[in-house]
Amino acid sequence: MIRLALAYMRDRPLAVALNALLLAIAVASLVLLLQFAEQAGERFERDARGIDLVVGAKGSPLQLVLSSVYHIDVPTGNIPLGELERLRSDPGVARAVPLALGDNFQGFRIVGSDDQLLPLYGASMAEGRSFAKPAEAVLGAEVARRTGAKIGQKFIGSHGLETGEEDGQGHDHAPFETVGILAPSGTVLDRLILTSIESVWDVHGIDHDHHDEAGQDHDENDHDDHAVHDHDTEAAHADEHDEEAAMPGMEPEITALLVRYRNASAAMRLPSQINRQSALQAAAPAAEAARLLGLFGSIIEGARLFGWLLAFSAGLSLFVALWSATRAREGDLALLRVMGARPSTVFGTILIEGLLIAAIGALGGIVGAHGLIAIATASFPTLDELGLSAMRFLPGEGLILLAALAIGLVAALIPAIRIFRVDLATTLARYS
Amino acid sequence: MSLAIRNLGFRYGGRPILDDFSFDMAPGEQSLLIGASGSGKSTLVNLICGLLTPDAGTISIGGEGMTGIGAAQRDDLRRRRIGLVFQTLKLVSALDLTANLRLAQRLSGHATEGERVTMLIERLGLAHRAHARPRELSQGEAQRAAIARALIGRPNLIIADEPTSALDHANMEKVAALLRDCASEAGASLLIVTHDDRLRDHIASVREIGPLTAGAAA
Repeated sequence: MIRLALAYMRDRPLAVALNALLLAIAVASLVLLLQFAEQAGERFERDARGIDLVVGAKGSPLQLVLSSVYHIDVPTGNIPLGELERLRSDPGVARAVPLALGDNFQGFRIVGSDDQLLPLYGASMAEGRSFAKPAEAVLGAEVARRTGAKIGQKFIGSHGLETGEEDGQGHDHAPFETVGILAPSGTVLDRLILTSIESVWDVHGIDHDHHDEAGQDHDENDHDDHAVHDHDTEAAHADEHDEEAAMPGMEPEITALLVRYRNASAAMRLPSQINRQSALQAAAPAAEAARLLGLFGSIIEGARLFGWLLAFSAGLSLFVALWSATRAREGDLALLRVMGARPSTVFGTILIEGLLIAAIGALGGIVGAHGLIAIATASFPTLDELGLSAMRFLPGEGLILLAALAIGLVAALIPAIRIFRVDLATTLARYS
Repeated sequence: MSLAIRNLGFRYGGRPILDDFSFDMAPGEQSLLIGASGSGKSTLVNLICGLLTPDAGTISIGGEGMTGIGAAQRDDLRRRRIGLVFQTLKLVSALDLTANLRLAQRLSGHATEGERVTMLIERLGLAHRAHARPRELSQGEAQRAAIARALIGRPNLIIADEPTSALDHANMEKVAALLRDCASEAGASLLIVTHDDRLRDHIASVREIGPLTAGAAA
């Protein structure tokens, strides 16, 4: 009977295609919403794991978290390097990891940090080793895959955090050498290029003490006479810093600090203590991510409701199509019965037809949604940076598929039930 | 007996359509039942096929009673024993000729025999139309295709309801000859029920059926 149902579908391809398309649009909308909500939520949760607090320049706390934890916004500004040691010496802090941002390579952010960053994310090396000296860089797994870079290859960073910001300011005088490639971790590290803080300073011609170039145990006093580099403003792009020589008078700074508490009391004390300082702010990634997801949540819920309304409309359209189809082929169905088909067989044929159209629509919608994600991530860097993957299928999609099949089944049920109520002799008298 | 009808009575909307009607056909016999519109011909076909239940009397096909049994058993008996040819309802519209015959073969309870499908299509001169959809066939081709569909399940009894009414004389003669020949070759009985007087000369056994009351619907 599947073959017969398929034959009837082939017999009216336009109606079948239109109904499947309607359902596909509804399913694609629902899948896109599900994917965005799930993947963004997971990404936010995964990238912020192990980070209790972010300390940075005053400004929007959400911007600080987005730029320093999720690497999808520009930083709020820079903070003095001395804050690193001050926080590390705090008994309530288990770990404080510095970040220095400002450049990119082919759109991938170059992040200056120290040897505390990899353990913070539980990352491991797939190839090579971690950075040890200035100008050495470790590539995230996704960076290596996309750029095709190998160990030993050199590259030149561009100023700004995104490809579009480069405005031709490549740091030709200070090329990086790839010394390691990270194993995929599913975190933001996959899309970052890691180097030492000193490398970032060197690239921007900021003088600092090269004796502790691994970026550890920086003494605030060592850098008192060093230059400041402002990474986040357009002015920074136009500052035409001398790329060949260090600039005396610019004090080395960092962009932010990722902090992990040692105890619960630190969570009570540290944020308010930091926020009282005029130049610094502390933001909790969990709270900011929840605020952002809460904001998106209501939009997503509204869109989801609209998606289900679309699915209902598609079901209604399928019902009308099947109802008129069964009316149009009453003679055929009567002939089938005369040829020996049981009422249940004819009933099943119509149900299968509804199910097949729904299945085509639902599978088309799922494939379409994943295709759209692939196109969107390739076209919009922000979505790519969010970590949306077109190849990831969620269990919720199975439920959407089942719901779409149920819609097809219900839409076919009433036309199919009508078969039992058709008087065969009357129908034959009408058609024969 | 291939078909035995005894004292059949049927009323529709309180009006008698058939009353005490009896009719026999021996295996392999070919009969023409002729009557005007409203004479109860189609009602009789529906009763023989088990699509209607008589108010009185019995019908048996190949020794198996079509009366006094449930709808599912009537469906089964019809599937196994009867091949039906209609005037306009010939094939399932969505399937091509070959697929129609294969489906009819499966529904009749027989295993799919590709050779028999091909043989019948060739026998009825439709080899060049084997994969044509019903709407692509001419009237004559469609009627031959309907005969092939009725024969594919190896029925004991072929009933043709107005098989030639829409055909011109030449096609009427061809279809009549085909029905006769195919039924003979298959060893099946043939009952043609029609108002088409032209068929009188083509079937040896002719019986008339007339309306019991003026204006009774068939």
